[in-house]
Amino acid sequence: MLLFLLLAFMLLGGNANNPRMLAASGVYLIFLTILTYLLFRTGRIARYRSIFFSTFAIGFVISFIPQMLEMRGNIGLTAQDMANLDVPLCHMTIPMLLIPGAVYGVLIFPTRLFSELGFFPMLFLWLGATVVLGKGWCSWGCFYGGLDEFFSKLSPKRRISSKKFNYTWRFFPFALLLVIVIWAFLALEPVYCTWLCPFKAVTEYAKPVDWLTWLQTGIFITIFLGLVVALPLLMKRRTQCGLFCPIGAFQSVVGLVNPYRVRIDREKCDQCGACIGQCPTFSITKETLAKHKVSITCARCGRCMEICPRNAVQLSLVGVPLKGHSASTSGSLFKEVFRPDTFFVFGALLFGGIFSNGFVAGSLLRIINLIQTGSLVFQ
Amino acid sequence: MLEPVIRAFLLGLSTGALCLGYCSPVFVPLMLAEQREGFYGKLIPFLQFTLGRFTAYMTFGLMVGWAGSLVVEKVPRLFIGLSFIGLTILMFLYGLKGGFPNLQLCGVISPLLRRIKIPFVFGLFMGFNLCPPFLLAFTDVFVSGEIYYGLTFFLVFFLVTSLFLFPLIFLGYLSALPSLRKVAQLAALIISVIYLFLGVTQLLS
Ligand code: SF4
Ligand code: SF4
Repeated sequence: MLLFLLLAFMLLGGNANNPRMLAASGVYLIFLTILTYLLFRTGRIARYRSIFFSTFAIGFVISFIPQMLEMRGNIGLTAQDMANLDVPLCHMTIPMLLIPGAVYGVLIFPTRLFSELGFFPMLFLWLGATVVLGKGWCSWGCFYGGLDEFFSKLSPKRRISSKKFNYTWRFFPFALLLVIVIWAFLALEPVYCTWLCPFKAVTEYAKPVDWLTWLQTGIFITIFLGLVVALPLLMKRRTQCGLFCPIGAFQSVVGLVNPYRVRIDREKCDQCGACIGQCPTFSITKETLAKHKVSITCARCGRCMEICPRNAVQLSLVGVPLKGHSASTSGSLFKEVFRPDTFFVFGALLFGGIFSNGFVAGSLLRIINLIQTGSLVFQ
Repeated sequence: MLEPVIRAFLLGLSTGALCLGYCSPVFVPLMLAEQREGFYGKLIPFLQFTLGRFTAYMTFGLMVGWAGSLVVEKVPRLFIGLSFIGLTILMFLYGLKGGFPNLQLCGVISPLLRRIKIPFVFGLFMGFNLCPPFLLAFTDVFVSGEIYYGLTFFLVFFLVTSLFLFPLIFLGYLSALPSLRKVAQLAALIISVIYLFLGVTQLLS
């Protein structure tokens, strides 16, 4: 109820002057309320989170591309757009911007400091998300991760088994982070955006004009099709997020400021290993399980909690005894409501709901426009 | 001016990570065994060790740059280009397989070093470790045919690799070594691809 009221206030209040957006936000609010109700009623965090997260990502793509078309006429950035500092900043760039910003006082991305989608708004958004969600950002807040999630859920059957998977690859995002941060500092260029970001394929990219820009475009599309579409479909895991995304690696480290952790109860876990093959971000391995731990890359998606046959995995606060191990275990309603996992999920849904509203509600309006006029772009 | 800095930085990055992953398990216990308690007890041997590495790298930069300036004009470009690409591929394979085709110098000489117990000599040997990124650095400087390029390159190379070793000694994050080793291995993989790209575009132009 509280979540509903808060969401209603934020989602509807922000669109009071725009009746169409207000109506679309209302629809989204009902959708979120039903999801929240089902989530708390069934305790199936992963399932309902996944529906929310995928909707967010699809809504983002449907909204963003036509928006760029309205603003610029195409989604390929021109040199002029960059010179005008007209490029919206995304959170993917943050680790690359910090060192050049601190050392030389320059912003190595063609955006404005204070505009709506510029540096400071995005920095504050990311800081807020890091405090509220920690690495949970990657399962509740990142619209790119939602695409990975969406494709990993599409196929009914796993076609590539995880049994032979070499878990060394889960260190790749950290290696890539190391390389791009230093490379960006030296070249004073957001090299990840220029060369590697798979999401350029569904957002915006430098217009291909010569062999170099064609090569870059080819790389974006290949990584997108391989890691965001094909492998998630075949492995039913989030391969881009778990095996590539350097920002996910960054978030794993800075996200430690958030006090929530997924923890494995020593007494309940019998090391059956069921969670290893299920974790979408490759965060549970034989080694971590032997220590009754998940890796710092855990994105708090809730999957392991849902599938553990012994109910041994819990989302909890660091230092707080796990459920069923507290000194007094009288399961009063008060204690049920004020459980750490309830708080986390509440905060995550509130944050995610507010953050996603503009995109999802906007995409609803665009779909209606598509039906009426045959185009997602508003005239 | 910027080119040797960028190239050395990238290579130093992978070598530093590799040193951390492969040589430090040999050197650091030796170093730690030498250290006394307290900040200065750690600092002095570390500085001697760093001086050893500095000496090794600068000597190398000077000699290879000088040798390059004498003979590089006479070596066929194609041969240089191919050896460059060959070394990059070696580094890529290392990154992919996790096998380390170096001469395992640090492992071989560790019994000797254990007896010598001089941090400066540890540093010298660590500096001369012939792993793929180091050989790549060698080729890069040789091809430039310039002493100045060699010195700048190896100075940056030294500074970057030191960045990795400094916290290791003082913060003692030895328990994180297996994970860092994997990160190092994969960073070498990425850097080899970048280097290959740089090498091929340069060869073509
Ligand atoms: S891993 Fe990267 S893309 Fe995936 S959810 Fe996290 S930040 Fe987003
Ligand atoms: S460890 Fe559990 S909660 Fe964390 S990402 Fe893996 S399945 Fe999700």
